[in-house]
This record gives sequence, C-alpha cells and structure tokens, in this order.
Amino acid sequence: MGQQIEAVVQRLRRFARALSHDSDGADALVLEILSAHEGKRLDYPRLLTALIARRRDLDDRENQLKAQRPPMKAGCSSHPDILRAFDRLPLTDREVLALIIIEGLDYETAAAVLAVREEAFIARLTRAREAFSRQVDGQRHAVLRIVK
Amino acid sequence: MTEPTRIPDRIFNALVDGRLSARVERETREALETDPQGNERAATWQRQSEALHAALAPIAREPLPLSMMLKLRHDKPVAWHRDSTLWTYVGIFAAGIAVGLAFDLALPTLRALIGI
Repeated sequence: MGQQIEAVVQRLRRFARALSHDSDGADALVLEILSAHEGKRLDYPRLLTALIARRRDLDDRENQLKAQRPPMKAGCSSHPDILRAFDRLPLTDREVLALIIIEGLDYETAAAVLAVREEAFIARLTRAREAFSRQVDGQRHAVLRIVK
Repeated sequence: MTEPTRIPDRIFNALVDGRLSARVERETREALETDPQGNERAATWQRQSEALHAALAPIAREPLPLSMMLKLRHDKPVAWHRDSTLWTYVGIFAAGIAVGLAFDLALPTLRALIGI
C-alpha cells in the first residue's frame, strides 16, 4: 500500500512539474495538495483537479506580480528544448497536454478533471497541440538564427 | 485534384495518441495519404508528444524528496490507517461483547460447579 501511495505521489510530482516553472515550486504544490487531502481517500483525478486549481491561483498571482519565470531545473536538462517550448505555453494549454501526454488519461477522464465537456476538451487539446508545435518551431528557428 | 478528407479532431488526436482501434487507425492513415499536410502534422504532433513524455518521464522515477516522504509517513496512517484503526476498535468491541456473552452463558454452569 505504501508503495502505491509513493507511486501516486511520484506521478503527481511529475504532473506538478509539467505545470510549474520550477521543481521546488512543483514539490511545494504537491505537498500543499497532499496536506489539503489529508485523511481523505486518494482519488487521483480529484488530486489532479485540485492541483490544477491551485496552480491556476498561483499563476494568476504570478501574473499580477509580473514575476520573471525561472528556467526549469535539473531532472529535465536532457530535453531542455522541448521543455522550454512547453514551459512557454499558457497554463491552460499545458494542462490539457499534461493530462493526455504525460498522465495518459483518456479524453473522458481528462475532461472530467477539468470539469469541461469532452468536445470542448478535444477542441482545447487541438489548440494546445497547435500552439506547442508553433513554440517548438519557433525555438528551432531561434537556434538556427543563433547558429548562423 | 482530390480534396483531402476532413478528419474529425477527436479521431486526429486519438491517432496521435495511439488510441484508435487497428481498423480505424488503418482507415485514418489511408485518408491521410491524400492529405500530405495532415499526415505531416500528425507525425509532428506524435514526435513532439513522445519527446515531451520522454523529457518528463524520469521525474516519476525519482526518489521522493525527504519532505514528501515525511509527509507521507505522517499521512499514510491518516489516509488508510484511519480506516484500519476504526476496524480495530470495532473488533475489540465485538470481541468484548463475545466474551461477555460467553461468560454469561457459562455463569450458571460455573455456579453449579462452585456450589454457590
């Protein structure tokens, strides 16, 4: 049972890292969510929903403060370009992509996590993928310009 | 020139995510043969998804930081052991009743044996 909980928290950490701009912030977020769910049964989709909601709050606050984004930290350093492109996406795009690509949820569950209809979720997923693709391309062109 | 078949977003995303049945995937790929742009877009999205997944995968295998382990040690008992604690109390209570009943049933026999 203990290993199961650990595995769930490891997955949650990865999800939080995908939505956060730094690993310390992601871990703090996970701890906060675990504390908020202390004594409750571990319902993974519900934890994801809570984490997304909290991340949105933090993002709003960060945007208000116009804080500078620190770069993603170690653990992701072997694929910095793809993560940098991902990190540049708005949180709403990162949410849908993380639920599908990183968490591997089916569309119905992912839509339920975000409390949206499945059709709306698919539309958001398509837009997020297009945006992600543009970011990756933009980054590649930037690298090429630097090389030239 | 043949107009490329419009593939619904749901099918297109499911193709990228590898979530189509073999038959639907084959039909979708056939449809994409007349749509080089769509074909390229599917391949690009698939590559990017795989790269993103691979980039974040190691995090789920990292050992948890100490702060989190301590939190879990504290919480695990709360999340699951609260239930088990409850059942322990229920068990003790039931055992107490069983012992009481057994004693009550055995009391006349004991009295007869002792001669009270």
